[in-house]
Amino acid sequence: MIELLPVTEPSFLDFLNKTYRTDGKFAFVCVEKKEIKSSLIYDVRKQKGIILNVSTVEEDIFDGLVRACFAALLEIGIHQAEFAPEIDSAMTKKLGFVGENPYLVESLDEILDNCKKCKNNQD
Amino acid sequence: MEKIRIQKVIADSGYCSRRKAEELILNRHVKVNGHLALTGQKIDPVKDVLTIDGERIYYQTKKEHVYLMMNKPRGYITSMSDDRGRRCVTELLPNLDVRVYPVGRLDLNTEGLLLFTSDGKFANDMMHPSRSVSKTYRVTVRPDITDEQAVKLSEGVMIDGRVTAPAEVRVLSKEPNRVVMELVIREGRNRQVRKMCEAVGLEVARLKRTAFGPLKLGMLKPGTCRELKPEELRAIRGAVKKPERRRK
Repeated sequence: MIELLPVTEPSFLDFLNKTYRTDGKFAFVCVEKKEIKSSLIYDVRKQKGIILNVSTVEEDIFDGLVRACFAALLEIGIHQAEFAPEIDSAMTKKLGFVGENPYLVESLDEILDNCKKCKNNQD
Repeated sequence: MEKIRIQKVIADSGYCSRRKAEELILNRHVKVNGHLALTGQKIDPVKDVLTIDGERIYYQTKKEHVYLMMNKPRGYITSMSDDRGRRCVTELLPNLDVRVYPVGRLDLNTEGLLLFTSDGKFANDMMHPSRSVSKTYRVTVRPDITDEQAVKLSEGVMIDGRVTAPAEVRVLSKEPNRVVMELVIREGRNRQVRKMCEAVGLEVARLKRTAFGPLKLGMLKPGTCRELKPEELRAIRGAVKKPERRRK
């Protein structure tokens, strides 16, 4: 089973920032069979969530990490986000996170309310 | 001139390392003024006639030392010669008046920054594990690196019965089935980077040394060499950790 968990250990957050050359204050990890497979590093700047790195090229895990981050942002009252230019824009577009602007996520609420794959929305 | 230990004279001449010189002396290849030399024997490098297998060895003062940086291409072995006919890095060296030796080694399939020098002490300082000179590698691995694997590489992994010293890991790019990372290590164990990657389940597709301490490969073309600039030489000497003195 895959779990998406927030990073609570500051030293591990430091490690992720060093490894991916970022300076984020928050992160989520994808854990499978007790092994940390990949991560998402983000920050909040000027009332906007900034996704600094997503360390996976697997579509489902990428999608899950980004949605976990978006949900966490909404919980603290942030409704917009931006992907760093280093993040694969083909992937973010394919997953429907961005529109014409390849970096900006206009509405996190909309993204989380309109999950294409979500069974609840298929009716 | 002040008398100097014979193995130092040989090493400073660029003929071989100090350790190799000791072997040559023990194996009766070295003579001083026609008499077999002894390990630790002190000689006047200017007046005394020093020979190895009949070849006269001339003492070099430090001013004459040569320091080169090479961008070693893949397919060359780091050796002065090879009895199996493989291509050696020495084939890529320019014609020099002095004999230079590689500082450490890069595997046949590893490319990048390789230093050469005629200065035995410098070579020894650069290679000795206690001096902790960093080596930076650009490593392309397959299939993908998990964060757990990155943690293991950075904390140290068991290779050849010993755990490696902490390393710095930076992921530079990720593509499906291919990750490029930068790995900084401070040891120089045999095939260390490849073994570290194998130990965590990664296959190394390409390995290139991009820096040696503060020296950077930059845009040096593969298969070419250049002399180190005076400021580079100062920087690399400054980067060498001084050996700790034993307290009584």
